[in-house]
Amino acid sequence: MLEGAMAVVKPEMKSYIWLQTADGSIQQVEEEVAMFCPVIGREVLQSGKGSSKNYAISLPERVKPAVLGSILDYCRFHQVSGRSNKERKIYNEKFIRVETSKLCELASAADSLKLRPLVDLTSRALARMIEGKTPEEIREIFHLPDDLSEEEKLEPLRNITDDPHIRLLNRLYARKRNELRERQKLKVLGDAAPVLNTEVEKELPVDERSVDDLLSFINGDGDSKEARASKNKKRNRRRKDQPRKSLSMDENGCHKESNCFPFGNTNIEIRNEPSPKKSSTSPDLEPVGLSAKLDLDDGDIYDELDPVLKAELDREVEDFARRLNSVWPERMQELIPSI
Amino acid sequence: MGLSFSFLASNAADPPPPEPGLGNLPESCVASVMVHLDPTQICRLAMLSRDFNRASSADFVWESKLPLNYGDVIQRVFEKDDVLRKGNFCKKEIYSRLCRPNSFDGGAKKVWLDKTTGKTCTLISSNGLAITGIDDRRYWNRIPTEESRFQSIAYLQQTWWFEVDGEIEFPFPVGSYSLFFRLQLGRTHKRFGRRGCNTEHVHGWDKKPVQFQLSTTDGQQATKQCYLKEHGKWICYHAGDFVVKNSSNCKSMGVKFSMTQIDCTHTKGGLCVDSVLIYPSEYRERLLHF
Repeated sequence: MLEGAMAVVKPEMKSYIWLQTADGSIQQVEEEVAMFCPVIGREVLQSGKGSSKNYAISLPERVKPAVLGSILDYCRFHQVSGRSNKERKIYNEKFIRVETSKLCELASAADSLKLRPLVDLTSRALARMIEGKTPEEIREIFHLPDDLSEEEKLEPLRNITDDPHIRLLNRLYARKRNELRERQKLKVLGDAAPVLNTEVEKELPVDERSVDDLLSFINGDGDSKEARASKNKKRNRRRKDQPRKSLSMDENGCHKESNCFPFGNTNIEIRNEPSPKKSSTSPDLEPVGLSAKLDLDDGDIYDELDPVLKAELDREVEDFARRLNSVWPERMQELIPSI
Repeated sequence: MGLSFSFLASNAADPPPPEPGLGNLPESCVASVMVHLDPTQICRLAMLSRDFNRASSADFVWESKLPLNYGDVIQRVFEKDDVLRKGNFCKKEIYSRLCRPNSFDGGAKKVWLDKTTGKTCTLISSNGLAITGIDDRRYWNRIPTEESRFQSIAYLQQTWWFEVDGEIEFPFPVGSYSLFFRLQLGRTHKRFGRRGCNTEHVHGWDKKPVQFQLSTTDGQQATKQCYLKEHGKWICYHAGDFVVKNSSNCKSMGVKFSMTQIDCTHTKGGLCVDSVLIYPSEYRERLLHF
């Protein structure tokens, strides 16, 4: 009799874990599937929750019920150890072939559940979507708010290492910020004389590239010496007799401290300004502090400067802007593989 | 429950929830996506929105772009009192700094990371090479020029024994590298803003090929012979390849290389020696066309 009773017991006792999503709905899932997910597994082991409907494990907010289903399917497939790599790969490829919005939700949920393999999978898929698209297209696809103001985009960069490129870039930004302010002032004044407008908004052939495009500039001319040599032909007017200093000097013997500031007169890699004759007598300025100081208040100090110096500075910055926007390095890149 | 009640009450007033998209993804997610993009793209994305901007500065994103042994590279390249060694920099700044050509070994060498791939490129100037007879002005001259990253090249007038040796000890990140000699037959000059090349003194290179040799501290070797051709252009002659494997016991790889033409039955001359390049092997095709 006892034996008979025991024979009635089911051979397979599946245990389930109960999960609750942020909206309150509860579902149960096989234990081994749920354990595949580190966050759930930890909850089960540490707090013993999930064993019944009343003690369901609350999932992070970013895990929506619809997405949870997909994630559990993923876990269910992959936790089976017997599958070959090829099988898994095929499954993954199919898994990510969903709408962008769903993919984003999956990525977000996987991230909050710390499900590393799924995070990688979805991130890779999203990255593939982003690759090679223009900023507008990316905004379109992912519904990104354009919440960086013009001013923010022109924030000066931190230049602890005293990179001459960054110094020039910050100066370029200071100038653009000034222009922006001018334009805004004019808008406030209303439509004043059109003459005024055209004067201030003189068309600089400069597009608003990203601050961090510095990186794309830094080695933009690093690939070919020839390209650089010909590019530098006109611009490299560095005098041989001028001593190379880590910071350049004030050019016209103007007063020290506040009026003097570093030119980008250091590297052969940025082309140099022609220095006026009487420069060699200027004193050497304490480099980094002054540069840092000037970078911060660049806009203000600029206005106090000698007009000749201003012109020099303007020319240097404009040239820098031109080089930044030059498509020469990219064109060279295109040419090379085509040979 | 209070929750559902308030939900109903506020439903009418609230605008419809924003469509789900990357715009709503938390920074860590966006950063995870950026790990799979290359640095230039990451920088472009940084300007799209505030979240992207913050995500693009995430340390783990840039850590994945830096070579694994970037700490060793920094130690080797930068002086003890350099800011980079002392300061606490975020990985993005470290990457940015390493992408600039950084001089080391007294200015005789330069190294940088290629900005897109993060691979290490090294350059050894003619000043850093051991050139037989360099001090004898009958044979060799150092000429300042714009066409070199080191602003000067070594020009050979003529000699019987041509030998250029060099070596470098550097913590190359794991990967395979190709070594090139950047040479030009003929001496350039600039007149009226135009570049011209004087090939009068170029002789002897067509008689016998030059020999390139390369060897590393872990026993790799390569030799190659080729004729120098094409006057008037800078050409990167491929000397050999070597592979750096991951090994915990030795941080640095030493590479010795040489270029010789020591057949003393004929003189050779008219050659400009600029520098030796060590680039990742993937760039080989790119360089050979320059």
